[in-house]
Amino acid sequence: MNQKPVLDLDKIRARLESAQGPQYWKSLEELAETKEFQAFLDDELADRTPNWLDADHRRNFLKLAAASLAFAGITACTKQPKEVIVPYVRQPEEFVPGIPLYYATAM
Amino acid sequence: MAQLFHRSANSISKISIAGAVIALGGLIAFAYTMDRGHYITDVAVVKEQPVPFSHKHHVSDDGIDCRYCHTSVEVSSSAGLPATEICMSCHSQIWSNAEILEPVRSSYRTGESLEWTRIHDLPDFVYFNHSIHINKGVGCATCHGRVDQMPLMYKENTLYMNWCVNCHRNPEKYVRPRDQVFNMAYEAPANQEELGRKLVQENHIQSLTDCYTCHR
Repeated sequence: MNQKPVLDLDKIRARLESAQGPQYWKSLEELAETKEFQAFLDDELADRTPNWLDADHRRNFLKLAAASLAFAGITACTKQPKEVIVPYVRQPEEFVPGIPLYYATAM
Repeated sequence: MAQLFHRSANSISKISIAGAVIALGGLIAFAYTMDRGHYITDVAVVKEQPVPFSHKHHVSDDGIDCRYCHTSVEVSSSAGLPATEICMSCHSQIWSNAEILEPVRSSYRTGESLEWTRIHDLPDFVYFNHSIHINKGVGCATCHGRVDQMPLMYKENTLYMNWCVNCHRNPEKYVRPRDQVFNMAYEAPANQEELGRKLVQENHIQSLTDCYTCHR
């Protein structure tokens, strides 16, 4: 909320006059219940906690977290995937599969 | 005061308790059977290969030694699969026109490797070295079974950790004299315990059961 909304003070006064009991408000904008102020409240920290105020979303998040934990073990329930062995066509001399071959690259 | 539950509630509660116990037992039995069964372990399951290679024919009928093809089994972690060249050393002379061997010839012609399906596939988090086992007197057949009687290759044992540890804890029950390692038909003598203990001592066989022996 960059710009201060225009407040209709006469309207607010009229409303407060007819009001009964304690009426709490922290700013004139809140008292006026302008659209901009409501949007500001809903949007607070919007960029950092998206949908955090949405109860549905929070529950979904917890559900997903619980499910991931519960199903973590299932990843073990799998068959080993097929693996291929690809031998040489012409095996180089001096090279033994499984043993690193060291040689000097500079003479 | 009126009865809260119908008389049948007695039976229903008993049946549900018994049923729950049986269902739990059944679930455990099912999981165990799946885990040890052919479907998961691939024991005795033949897989598709580019060429239907018969160990039975090459080992039993022709009498070719394991090391003719698995050249590095005595010196390396990997036993080594024969290069196409090794196949062709015989098959350029015999069965040189057999249609079944066309993939081998085509590999030799084009320089493109044959792609075999791995039968004995240890998980990647396990370190295994063929040479140390061979050199300490663990026979090929001890782990791979009677390969000389397998027309198509399959896995004889699960290669599960409990199977490995079984021998690592009591090597004297399974080791054989070192000159018998490549003998497919070797059978443990009646005095295996005694012979085993002697071999363990002679060949300095250690019972390695530390986790990091295999999980490095």
